[in-house]
Formats: sequence, C-alpha cells, structure tokens
Amino acid sequence: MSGIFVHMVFSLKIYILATIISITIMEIVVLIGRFIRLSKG
Amino acid sequence: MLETIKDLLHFFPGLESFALMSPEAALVRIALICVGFALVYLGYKRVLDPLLMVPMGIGISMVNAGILLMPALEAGTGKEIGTMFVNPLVSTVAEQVDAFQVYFLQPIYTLTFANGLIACLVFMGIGSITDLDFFISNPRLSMLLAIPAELGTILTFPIATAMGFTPSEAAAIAVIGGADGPMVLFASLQLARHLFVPITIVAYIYLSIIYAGYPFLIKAIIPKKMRGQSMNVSMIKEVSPGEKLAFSVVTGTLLCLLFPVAAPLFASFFLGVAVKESNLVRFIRVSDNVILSGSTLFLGFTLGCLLSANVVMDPKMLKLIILGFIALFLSGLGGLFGGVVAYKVSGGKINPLIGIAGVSCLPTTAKVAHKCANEANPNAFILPFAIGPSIAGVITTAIITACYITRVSHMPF
Repeated sequence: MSGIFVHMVFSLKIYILATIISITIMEIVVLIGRFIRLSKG
Repeated sequence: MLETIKDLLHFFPGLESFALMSPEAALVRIALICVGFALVYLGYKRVLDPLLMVPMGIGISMVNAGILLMPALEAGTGKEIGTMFVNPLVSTVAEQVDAFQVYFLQPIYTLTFANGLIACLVFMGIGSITDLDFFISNPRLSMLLAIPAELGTILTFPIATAMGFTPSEAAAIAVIGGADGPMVLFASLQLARHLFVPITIVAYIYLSIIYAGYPFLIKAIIPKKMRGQSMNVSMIKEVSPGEKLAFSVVTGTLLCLLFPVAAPLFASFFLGVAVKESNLVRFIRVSDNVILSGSTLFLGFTLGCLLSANVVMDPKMLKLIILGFIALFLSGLGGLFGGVVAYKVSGGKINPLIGIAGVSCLPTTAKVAHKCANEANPNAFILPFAIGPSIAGVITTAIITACYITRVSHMPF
C-alpha cells in the first residue's frame, strides 16, 4: 500500500512540474504576441 | 495417407509450421489472422482509422500466416520458427547485417523504429499540418484545458505499478493517456523497449476507437444544453505567421533545453510548425505528402508485422489492454471536467466539449467534440476552438513524457 502511495506522490509531482512548465510556455506565447504587436506599433 | 499429408505439409512451410507449434500458439496465430482481417474491414468501413488500421491489419494477418522453419541467425544453432518480415530480437552488429539480408522490413525496423525516428517523422508531419491560430490567440485557455486532460497520464502510473509493472514500464503505459501515438512509441522505446510492440499496438487501436467511444462518455456526462453551446468566432484573433514562427522557435528551443532526452520529438514537431509558418511550400508538400503519409504507412504495417502470437500470449498483454482503457477513460473524464469548469467560469460562453479536445489525439478529439456539439445544436461550430486545446494537449503530453523519461531513472524505488 505504501508503494502505491509513493508512486501516486511521484506522479503528482510530475503533474505539478508539467503544469508549471506548461504555464511558463503559455506566458511565453503571450509575451511573444505582445512583443510582436508592440514592435509593429 | 499420413505420408502424403506430411509431404503436402512439407511442400507448404506455412501450413507445416502449425504442426511445429504448441496447440495454444497455433490457435492464437489463427485468431490473429482473423484480427488482421477484422482491422482491415473496420478500417475500410471507416469505423477505425483506415490510415493505420488497413496497413496494420494486413501486417498482422500476413506475418502470422507467413511463418516457416528457417535457419537460425546465430550460426550453428540449427533451425528456428520465424518469418521473412522482421526480427526485433537481433542485437549484435553481425546479426544485424545478416538480418538485413533476410528480413525485408529489417532496415525499416532498425533504422526508424529502434531509434524512435518514425515517431519523430510522424510528429514532423503533424507539425506541418497543425493550425496554431486558436492556440496562439487563446494560449491560457488552451493550456488550462489541456492540463486536466492529462489525468489518465498521471493516475495510470500508480495503477500500473500496483498491477506489477516496474516504474519504467508503468510510465511508458501511462503515456497512452496522452492519446498521442508517436509519443507512446517514443516513450516505450525509451522506457520499456521490451514492451514497445504491445504498448504501441494497444495505444494505436484505442486511439482509433476514441472516435467511436468518446461520444458515449460525452453524452453520459454533459447535458444536451451545455453540449450545444455556441461559441463566438471573435474569440479567434488573427495571428501573424511571424508570431507563430517565433512561438515555434522559442518554445521548441526552451523545451529542448529543459528536456534534452525528448529533444528529437520537440525538434521534429516544431520544425514541422516552422516549415508551415515560413510558408516553405516545397517543404510543406514533402512533410505532409511524403513524410507523414510514408511514415504512417510503415508505422502501421511494421507494427502489425511485429504482432506475433508470442507477443499476444504474454500475460502482460491483458493488463496493458485494461490499463490503456483506464488511461484514456480518465483523460477523457479530466478533459470534460476542465471543459465544465471553463463553461462555468466563462458564464456559459465556452462549450465544455472543447475540454475533451485537450486529450491530444490531434485532430480526432477536436472532431469528436465538434461532432457532439453539432448533434446537440446544428448551429454550434466549435472545431476551430477545439483545435487549440488539442495542440496544447500535444505540448503537455510531450512535457509529461519528458518528465517521466527524465525522472523515472532517478526514482529512489
């Protein structure tokens, strides 16, 4: 049972890490858009 | 009489090989030949994805029919039962060179499957036909819908380990929840090479069934009024090709920097996107018509040819079928949950079905979402909106796959 718990915690950590990276990428997309629109004036 | 039958069998080595196998293996072989016929038929009737199922079905039928007694590759070890198609068990360079001269699919297997190249080629082709408009104009919504749709990728991992798989095998199986065929192939080659054939075949068959299966899940969970919610086309702002190109270059480079182990996949996908957004017409034609079509054909056919009786008779196969179902069911459930949350938060402006498109089977899940919305309300046109979460789903699945590949080898258990 403790094995399953450890694996569950591990996969949740992966989920949190992936979420953080996904949100970072999302913000990069937003920034690129803003930068390109600003540079066009 | 007996002698005549023996002579006749000797004349037809494919029939003779039945007599050389155990009765169970012979029965499984016959069943697989029938499965191959069924896949071709279901592909032809468009019940399953014909692009994969027709070559895969032909591969399964013919490889299981064309078994014969042949000289073993290892010199001096006599004869063994095999086929003239492919031998995935060769390991040494000398065996590999011999195998190239015997098995007609061996060059394709060794040069494109064993190193994951075929997955990268499919990904490159997908990149070159992917429309990024909704994703780039609504990146937050797309990404936030794709994250809950990874529920199966996350929860299948502990379930698989509880069912007796090692962490590496469990991670490779869990990636099925991302519903991305090339990613499953790549992850299983990296994490559980010995299981890559059954995992990939289970994944591709389920991915074909999604088109028929997810509508039942959608109708069981989402009320008709919510399913038929129209969306405002003004949500899709015009995005310049330069913006999309900048996105592909920066995001691809960043992901390669974070996860070098999955860099081939990221590089292939974003190369495809960059080719499309740079409007390199000749390259776009090659990526779509040659690379994507050619690699899909050989992917289906070679996978089919790898599905022999001994692969199916592995006791792990049944567990893989169960886990594949769990992974895709949970991901669908998570996607719909994300969609309902978006519907509530937006005050009913977002159709909840675009959440299931976050299960990244591009573009199948987006088409499923659109089909269900259209059935509930003929005026609901949500396909362009569903493509955004679907693309975000490809990216989140790639990130989770890369996290698994990177972290599983460092696990303390």
